[in-house]
This record gives sequence, C-alpha cells and structure tokens, in this order.
Amino acid sequence: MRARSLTLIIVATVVAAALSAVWWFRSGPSGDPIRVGVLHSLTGPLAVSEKPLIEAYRLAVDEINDAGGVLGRPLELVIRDGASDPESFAAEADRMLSDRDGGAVDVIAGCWSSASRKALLPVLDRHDGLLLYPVQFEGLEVSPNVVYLGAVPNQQIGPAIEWAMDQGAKRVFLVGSDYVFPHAANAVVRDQVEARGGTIVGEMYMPLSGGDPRQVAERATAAKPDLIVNTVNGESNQGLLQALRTVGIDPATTMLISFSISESDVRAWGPRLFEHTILSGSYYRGLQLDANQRFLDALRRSAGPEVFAGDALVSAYNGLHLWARAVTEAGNTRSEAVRRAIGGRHVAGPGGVFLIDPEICYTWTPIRLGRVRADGGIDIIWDSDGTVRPRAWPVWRTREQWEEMLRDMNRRWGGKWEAPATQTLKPATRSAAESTPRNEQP
Amino acid sequence: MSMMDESNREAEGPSHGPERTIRDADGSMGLRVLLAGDTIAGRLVRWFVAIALVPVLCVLVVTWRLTHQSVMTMQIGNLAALVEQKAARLHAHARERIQLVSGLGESPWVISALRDLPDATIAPKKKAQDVALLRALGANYGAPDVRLISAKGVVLFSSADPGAGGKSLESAELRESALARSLVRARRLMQAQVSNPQAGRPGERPAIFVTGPVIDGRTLVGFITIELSPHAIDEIVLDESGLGATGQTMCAADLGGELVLTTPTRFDPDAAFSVRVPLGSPRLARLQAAARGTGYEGTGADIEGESVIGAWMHVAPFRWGIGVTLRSEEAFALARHQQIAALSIAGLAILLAIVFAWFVARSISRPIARAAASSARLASGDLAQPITPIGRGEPRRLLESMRSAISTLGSLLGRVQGSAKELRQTAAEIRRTAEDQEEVAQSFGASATEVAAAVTEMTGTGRELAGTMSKVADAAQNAASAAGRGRTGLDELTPLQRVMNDATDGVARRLETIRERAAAINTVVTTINRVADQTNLLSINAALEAEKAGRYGLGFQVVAREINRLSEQTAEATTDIERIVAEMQEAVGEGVREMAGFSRVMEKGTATTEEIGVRFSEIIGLVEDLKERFGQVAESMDAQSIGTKQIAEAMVQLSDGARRTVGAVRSFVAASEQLERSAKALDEDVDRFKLPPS
Repeated sequence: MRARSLTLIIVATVVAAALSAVWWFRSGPSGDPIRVGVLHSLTGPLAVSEKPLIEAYRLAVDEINDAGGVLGRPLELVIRDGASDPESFAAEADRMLSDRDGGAVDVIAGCWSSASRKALLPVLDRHDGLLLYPVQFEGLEVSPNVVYLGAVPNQQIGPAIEWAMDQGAKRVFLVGSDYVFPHAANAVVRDQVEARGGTIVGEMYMPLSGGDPRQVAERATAAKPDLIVNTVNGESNQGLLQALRTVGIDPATTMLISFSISESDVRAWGPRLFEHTILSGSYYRGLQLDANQRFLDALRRSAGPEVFAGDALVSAYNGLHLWARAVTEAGNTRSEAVRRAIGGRHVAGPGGVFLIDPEICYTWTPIRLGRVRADGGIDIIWDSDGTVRPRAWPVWRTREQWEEMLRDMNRRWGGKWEAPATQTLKPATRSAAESTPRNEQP
Repeated sequence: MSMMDESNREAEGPSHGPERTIRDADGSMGLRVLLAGDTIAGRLVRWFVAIALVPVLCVLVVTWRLTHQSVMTMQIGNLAALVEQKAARLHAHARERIQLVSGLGESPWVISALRDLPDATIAPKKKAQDVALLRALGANYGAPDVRLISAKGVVLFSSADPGAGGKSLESAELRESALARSLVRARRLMQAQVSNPQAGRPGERPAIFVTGPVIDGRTLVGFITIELSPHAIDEIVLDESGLGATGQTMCAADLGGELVLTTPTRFDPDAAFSVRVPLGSPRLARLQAAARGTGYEGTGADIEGESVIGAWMHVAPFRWGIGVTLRSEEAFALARHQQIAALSIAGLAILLAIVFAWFVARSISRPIARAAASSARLASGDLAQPITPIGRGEPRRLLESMRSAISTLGSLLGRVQGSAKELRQTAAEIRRTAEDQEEVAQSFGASATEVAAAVTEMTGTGRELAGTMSKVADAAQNAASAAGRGRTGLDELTPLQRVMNDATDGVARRLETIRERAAAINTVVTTINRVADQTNLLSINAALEAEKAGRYGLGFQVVAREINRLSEQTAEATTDIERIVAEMQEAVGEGVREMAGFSRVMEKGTATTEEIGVRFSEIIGLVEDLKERFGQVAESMDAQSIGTKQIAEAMVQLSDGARRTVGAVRSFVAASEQLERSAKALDEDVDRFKLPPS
C-alpha cells in the first residue's frame, strides 16, 4: 500500500507539472489591448455600403485574438461614425487619434468615399497615424499615412477596357457620377481607348443624388456606342439601367461595364435589370477557392447570413490581418515601422493572393471580369491569372499631369472632391479631362 | 553473532516484522526490501527517490518544452527573416527589371527601332545601328536575350536567338508559349510583366522574360522583352548564409497543374524544372501553398520527406512560392544537447539520491532494527538480555536510553515484585479491619435512630404547648383590643359629652336670653299699655272736642272713635301679649330647670365615663403586662423547641452519618477486597517477568 501511495503521488505531481507547463504556454492574449479604430459611415446615404465592413473587422479581430492577439495583447475595436460627411470623418479621426476618450487608437481602418479619405490626410499627418483604406479608388495619391487596400484604375479599369477593345469595341460612351473617381477613371479610359485607336463618343456626369437618367440614355442612344463605361455610384444606377433599356440599349449586345457597383448592389437592385452587364473587381462571392469558402462560413457564423461579402469587405478583412502581422514584425504600432513591415507582406485571402506593395503601399491583387446573370450570379469571363501590380499614376500621363488634373478639379469644385449639388447634368468639358500626352511635352 | 543465535529462539514469535527485521538488521539490505519492504530503509530510499524524481521530472518537462519552444521560435524566426529577405531581393530584382523594361518602353530609340525594323524603306545601316544598340542594351544590363516584338505580336529582333525573328507569337505553335502569354498579359495590363518560364534552347534552363509595352505618345507601337539572367536569381536563391549544414531554399511555380521547381537547390543543382510535384500531393505541401499565395512558418517536410522547419512566402511578381527550410534535427540539435544534459543530470541526481538514501537508511535502520528487536523482547517480558548500542546520533541514543530504561525497569520490577507480595498481605488485613468497622458503624446507626425518635416526640409536645400559649396570648390580645376599642369609644364619647355640655350650656344661655327678652317684652308691653291708655284718653278727648266741633268735627269724631277702638284693640293685644309672655316665661323657667337637671346628669355621666376609661386603661395595662409575660413564656417555649429541633437535626445527621459510614465502610470493604485481588493479580503479573540475576 505504501508503494501505491508513493506511485500515486509521483504520478500526480508529474501530471500537475505537465499540465501547468501546458497551461503556461497556452495562455491567451493579455495585457493592454491594442485599439483598432474603425471609422465608417454608420448613418447617412453611404451607411448601406459602409456598415457591412464593420463585420469584416470584427471577424478579423476575433480570429487574431483567438490566435493569441498581437504581441501577446488582444485587439479591441473602437467604432465611430463618419456620418457620410468628410468633415465628420476628419473630426472623428482627430478625436480617435488624440489621447482623449480613454486612449488613442493605434490605427484607423475606414473611409469609403475619396472625399472622406482626402479629408483625413492632414489629420493623419498631424498625429502620425495610419489609415487602412479598403475601397477601390482612383489612385493618384501616395500618402505615407495610408495603406491602400483597394484596386486602382490600372488594375480595375485598364484590363477591362483592353478586354472590351479586344472584343471589338471602338466607340465608347462614358457616364459617371460627378465626383473625383469617375473623372479620373474616365481620363484613364479615354487615354487607353484613344491609344488603341478607338473614339470616345460621349462623356456625361450625373449628380450623386437626383439627376435625370433619361437625358443620358437619349444621348447614349444617339451616340451609338459599342461600349458604355459606367462609373455612376449608388442607387442612380437603377434609374440609369432602366432608362438605357427603355431606349433600346441592351447590355447583351452593347457592352456595359460598371466600375462603381458591386455584386451585392446588383443583387439588391434586381439582377434582371443588370443582366449581361460586366463588373470588374478582384473578389466575387462565387469564387471557387478554399480560402473563400472558409471565409464565407466564418463570416456567416460571426455576422449572420445577411452580410454580403464584397470587394471592400474582403480587402478590409485581409488588410487588418496583414496589419496585425506587420505590427508583430515591427514590434510596435508606430505607423512608420508598421508601414515598412507591411510592405511585401501577403496573405492568401478569400479572393486570392493579396500583397502590399513595399514602395507605395498599394495592393497587388488578381483582377476578374464578371458578367451578371439573371439570377444574380456572376460568370467570370476573364481572370488576370495572378496578381496585377498596382500603379499610383496610370501609365498614359505623368504624375505631374495627373496631379494638375486633380488640382483643377478640386479648384473647380470649390475645394471639394465632388461636384456641388446645384450643378446640373452636363457633358464634360474637354479641357478638364484631357491634357497633352507625355511624350509630346517639350 | 550472539544476538542472532539467541533471537533465533524467538522463531515462534507471532509477527513477521521483527523476524525479518532482525534478520536483516545486520545482514545486507536486499533490493526487494529497498523497494517494497515496510522498513525505514525501504521507505527512506523510495521517498528519497521520489523527492529527487518529482522536481527533476517537472524541470525536465518544463525545460524540454521551453527549450523546444524557444529553439523553434528562434530558428523559425531566422528562417522567416531569411525567406523574407530572399523574397524581397527577388521582388527587388523583378521590380528593377520591370522598371528597366518600363523605361525602355518609353525610350525614343527603342520606339524608333520598333518603327524602323519592320519598315522596308529604312536603310539597312540604320537598322544595323538599331540592332547594335539593342545588343549593347542586353550586354549593359546583363540580359541574355533582348527581343523587340511588334504590336501585332511578330518578333522583330532577338539578340540571343536570331532564328526567332519573323515569327509571330500569335501563330498556332507559339500562341501557348510563355512569352506569348506574357505578351497578352502585358497588353492587357499595359505594364511590364514577368512571364512564366519558357522552354527554350535545348539543354538550357527555361527562360523567364519581362515583357513590357512600348508606348509612343498615346500609341502602342510594340513590346520589348528582356530575358532574366538565371544567374541573378540563382545568386539570391543559392545564398547559403544562415542556413547551417542542412538548410536550403526552394522556389517553385504552379505551371500547368504541377508544382515545378524553378531554381536549382543547394543539394540538387539540376532541380530547376526537373523536380515536379502534382498539385494536391502531400509532397512539398507548404511550397505548393506558397506558390498559390499562402505563406507559412513552422514545420513541414522536404522533397525527400524528412522533417524540416521553415518559412514559406509568395513572390508576387514571379508568381512563385519560395521556402527556406532547415532539417529538424539540425534545428533542434542545440535543444537536444540541452535535453540530453538535463536527462543525464536527472539520472545522476536520482542515482545519487538512491546511494545516499541507502547509506543514510543504513545508519538509521540498523540501530532502529535493534531497538525494535529489544522492544519486542521487552513486550514478551524478557528483560534479561542486555542491549548493545550501535550507530550514531538519535538511534544510538535511543538504544542507550533503551538499555538504561530496561535495566531501570528490571530493578524496578524486582522491587515491585516484593512490594506486590507485601501489598497483598496488607490488603487482606485491611479488608478484615474494614469488615469489623462495618459492624460497629451499623450498631451506632441504630442507637442514633432511637435518640432521634425520642427527640422528635419532645419537639412535638413542646410545639403543642407553644401552640396553646399562643392561643392564650391571642385571647389576651383580643381582650386588650376590645378594651382598647372601648377606651377609644369612650375617648370618642368624651368629646361628645363635652359637646353636649357645651350645647346645654348654650341652651341655658339661650333660655336665659329668652327670659331676658321676655322681660324686655313685658316692659315694652307696659309701655304700649300706657300708650294705649294715653291714646284712649286722647280719643276721648278728641271725641269730646269733636262733639264740640259739631258738624265740623264729625269726621274727627269718627277718627276719634277709630282711635278709641284702636286703643282698645291695643289694650286687648297687649293683654294677650302679656299672657303669652307669661306663659313663655313659665316654659322657659321649666326649661331652665330641666336643663339644669340634664346638665347634672351629664356631669354625672362624664364622671362615670372617665371612671370607665380609667378602668379600661387599667385592663389594657394588665393585658399588656400579661402579653409580656406570655411573650416571655413563648420565647422560652420557642427556645426549648429550637433546642429540641437542633437535637433532632443533630440526631438525624448523626443517623445519616452513621448510614454513610456504613456505606463508606462497605465500599471500603469492597475496595479492600478489590485491592486484595489487584495485589494478587499484580503479584502474579510481576512474577511473570524474568529478571537478571541481581
């Protein structure tokens, strides 16, 4: 009996030692949380696009915390409302980056419209902060305080136009909302189409809200285009498509590529309306990738079945994961160190390889063209088969020329990045959208 | 050994313990005893081992994990840094080449060469100049091959492969080539692209091209391609710094459903494009994932299936996966040394523990065993054997004190034996004495009881007497009270009498007053009579006068007549009054006489009352006196009663005492009987001990 009790004690102690060792090594993240600021429009007209992104951040933070946090510390979301107004965005960002409200955030993930992003730049510069910007945008900007996670025109627009022209398009009609992205995009399209010997047969801008699509449709029909490039943003697309179909333009025969709407928008507004139109982006919900399936399952579990994964949501999710790894690599959350560490970092995300360019902190991402089906599904008609290198300044003009174009636009719009609401529908003036090609400058 | 011989006599002893201990106390300690025996030695050894083993094991486990963890982290950290560095260098190389091609894509003389070469009207000399420039380009920038391709896909010039000139990349044979595809990509994306490797000259490694558009103003005039020098890439990949003896770098791409190594490796210089693994197979799984875009840090397996640790990344410009790995054995070599060292120390510690335990156990166990043996003998009553102390420290002191204890015990027992016998005898005597005493006590008890009874009678009689006396006293008291009440009554009467006296005096006075008043009335009546008489006279006069007056005096006559009548009436009235007064005076006189008589009676009554009062007081005084005497009698009765009570109590106590004495004596008898028995038993017990010859 003595021997047995002795053995028991030995075994018990050994087990206890082993368990304690295991427990010690398994302890989860602890200590001061690292604060991740999330700044999106929770109210206002942009909320319907921006609110779902919160779920991406939540999912990413949960996954990171489950894996032990960052530098052993848990991540904590601090969510604020930009209210669809660039000035509110700037004010909130200023608040979040200062030491008030119980501690500054270590990074801001957010913004949607370019106006809100540009409004944040001086705030970020002042506080030496870092912004993770998840949305497709016009490029033309390289700020040391921003990591640009969305596709830019040379990725999203260039290949699409090339593909269309390979299909035989020669006459191109441009229609977009009256703010900075469509203007820049249309400049890229114009350069590209003309370089390939095509012609721009019309260029029209609708105000962001309101506007009469019938005028556009009439002008479009009169121009007899082979390709319509649509950079209209938001619900106006419904009216536009309706008007175009009414005047007899059928996307099945006349190519219509939309750059400012997403798969979920199409699903919400009625896929029948958008049947045969073409979308260009890096992520579609139906992509047959393991990582995508896992991501969609996790998102459904975390956020419920209503949240629709789209390009921006996936970019936001990937971006936060990469940021976490960059912080681990850098050992701290200072934006300069993190920006340096995040360059070159990549992840095999739900949409494929997602890599941050070390020089300009834009994102290498695969690009796919998809045609909308009547049931709302997307048929992939072209895949870039690998990542596409991003360029901040599309190839046809020099950086100075692009910057000059932006300055002119900004001045014309009274310091804002969208046209004032009072401006009525009008065709673009050539002087704003064009400049001399680079090789012909003295 | 003498001890063993003698103790072998005890072979019939009941317990195994002493036997084995005895045998083993001087013999060697068997391993069986050490491990399983219920001896101090065995326990000591086992516990020593346990105490040494437990912390050693804990430390081993913890350090094992810690070491493993830290070595893993360190090595993986190194490898991750290495792979990032290599990927960054590859990326930088690609970027540099891409920038070169982009720059060339805008360079005027490339543009002019692209225009010149297909143009039949351009002079050959000019074309030769263009060609020379292009060749120089290749040489200057270390590109093995520079090609110019028209916008339609026709190869216009190739510096390394002249035979390639004139071929169209859109032709059926070349359309699927890597170069053609990169062309398509470059056109689609309008930027320089790194191609997939293209099988080229036989016997040589497939080439990788960077293809970029050549743009003149807004027009695409063609494409320029430069071949990447494999040397530059190999230099990066085959850099062995930081890789120890078994570390290596592998780069691979997903080409046509297979993972194909794109560079040679450290241990396989021919690996490039010869090592192919189908996608999805478990070989090189991490590298496959990296080629598809998923990085990883941790453990994996190399091409031969050996366990490695490594870090894998994706290189986006090439669309390659790159992995830097190190064989696990080498990686954990350091840790292994530590672990082996720890294990050996542990083993040594345990061995030492056992050896020390054995020695310590021996030094404790032998003396204890001997002490146990002699205790056993002691238990069976044998004090004759001496103890020889052995060992050191407490066990030796134990043996020594046991020895002295046993000798003391022996002598003590001897004395005890003698005393026991004496005790027995004494106990018997005591018992007999006790029995005698019992009888005496009992008879005493009886007498005491009789006395008690007689005294109780006495007490009763006394009490009766006291009771009678008490009654008498009560009666006397009642008389006294009655007398007292009478006196009180009399006393009450006296003031009453006085009052009556006063009242009669008062009445007498009143009567006197009435007599005086009557006399006074008489006087007044007299006066009135006189007045009446006068009036009568007056009236007569008046009548006379009136008559005289004749007719004028008729009225006056009337008046006079009236007055006359009035005076007659008055005279009648006064006579009445006189008569009444006289009657009154008579009555009053009678009253006064009666009052006087009453007063005399009253006085006599008062005197009698006073006498009675005095007598009452005398009675009361006598009764008081009597009460005093009664009290004295009662006191003496009480005293006597108390006295007898005390005697009775004393007698009762005495009786009790006698009873108790009897009881005590009885228990004394019982005790002495018991004592006798115990003494007998003790005697018998002690007799049992064997003592050394004194």
